[in-house]
Amino acid sequence: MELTEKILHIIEDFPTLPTIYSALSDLMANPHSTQREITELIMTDQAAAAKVLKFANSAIFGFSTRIESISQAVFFLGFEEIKNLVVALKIIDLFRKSKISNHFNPVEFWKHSIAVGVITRAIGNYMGTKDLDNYFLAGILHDIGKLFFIKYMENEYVEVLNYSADNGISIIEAEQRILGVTHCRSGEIIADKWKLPQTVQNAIKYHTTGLITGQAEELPAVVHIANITARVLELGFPGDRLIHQPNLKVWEYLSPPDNMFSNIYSKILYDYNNSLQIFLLK
Amino acid sequence: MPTIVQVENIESKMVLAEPVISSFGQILIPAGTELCESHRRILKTWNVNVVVIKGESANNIEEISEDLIKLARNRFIERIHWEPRNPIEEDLVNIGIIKLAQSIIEDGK
Repeated sequence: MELTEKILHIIEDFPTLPTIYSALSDLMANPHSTQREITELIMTDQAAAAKVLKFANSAIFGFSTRIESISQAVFFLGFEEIKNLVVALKIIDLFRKSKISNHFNPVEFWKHSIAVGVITRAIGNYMGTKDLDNYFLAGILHDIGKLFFIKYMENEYVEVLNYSADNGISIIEAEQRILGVTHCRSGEIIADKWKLPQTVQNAIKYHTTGLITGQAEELPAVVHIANITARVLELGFPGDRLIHQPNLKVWEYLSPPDNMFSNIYSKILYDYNNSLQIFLLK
Repeated sequence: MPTIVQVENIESKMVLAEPVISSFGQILIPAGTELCESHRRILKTWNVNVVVIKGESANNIEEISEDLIKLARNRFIERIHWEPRNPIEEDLVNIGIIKLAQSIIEDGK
């Protein structure tokens, strides 16, 4: 299909991640790097540094003490989470300038993505997952493929959204029929191009089923549930209002407590509103 | 349903739903503790801004009338085209209904 080839070609030319991400990755990969060097690198981007600090102090991370400096934030959050925060902020900036049309508002897409990030982390935290480093990032980026379509193929994607709405089918089905490429596939290619952690790539690729070739993996499974939960709570608008039933195999794999959602409901709303202010306000 | 409360708004007899943990991973006050004035002082000393309290609701869930819950339930069931198959899905649907009821109150629709 010609259009499919065009899409794959555009992704090839898709912007690389901001240099601060690769610089941070390089610095963190070097065992001789110090916390001070990492702090100084983050401080070179003052806007990002200020947001990182606000975010580190939000209830999402649940630190009881106030974090006063980037150096403290690096210490408390750890290298990986700091890097993820910087990249999330940069990616949102990259896409935020997409124009608002009559058919959709990119801000509503971001709100949905941020909600999925918040819920993914809240579920992981509630279930006692030890390493939550990639949880927020994976949730935020799960629909990166859709954001790519909106930014680079607006007219075609409006057709996809209308087709999905008019025929009551999922966006994925509409994408496959009209574009020949789903947002899971385009997101996977982008995540690979950006060399995001493999588990984040899996979450982007498999969030609609939560399963990787029939097997569950924790992060994609949690993002699958978080995506449905954000839709249930109508936090943001991901392009359609369908609420799919969670995958039974995912429930079996995660086996969360029966009252998990009641227990994290207030936290989700609180963290969501907090995150919107940090990520979406200039 | 647990609620997040600012330390300055803590009232006596509020019960912690989640432990207060320091940045170093130490439990400062365990979950289930009934809070009093001395806890508030401790929390301020440790620069703690918010705590998670049991039972109370910042979202006034207890103030939502049964009729409104019914209305929200009917609207929500129209949105999803599936029946909960297990308790966790019941719980998910319930928070959806509560959120919808709260939106109806806020939007006046």
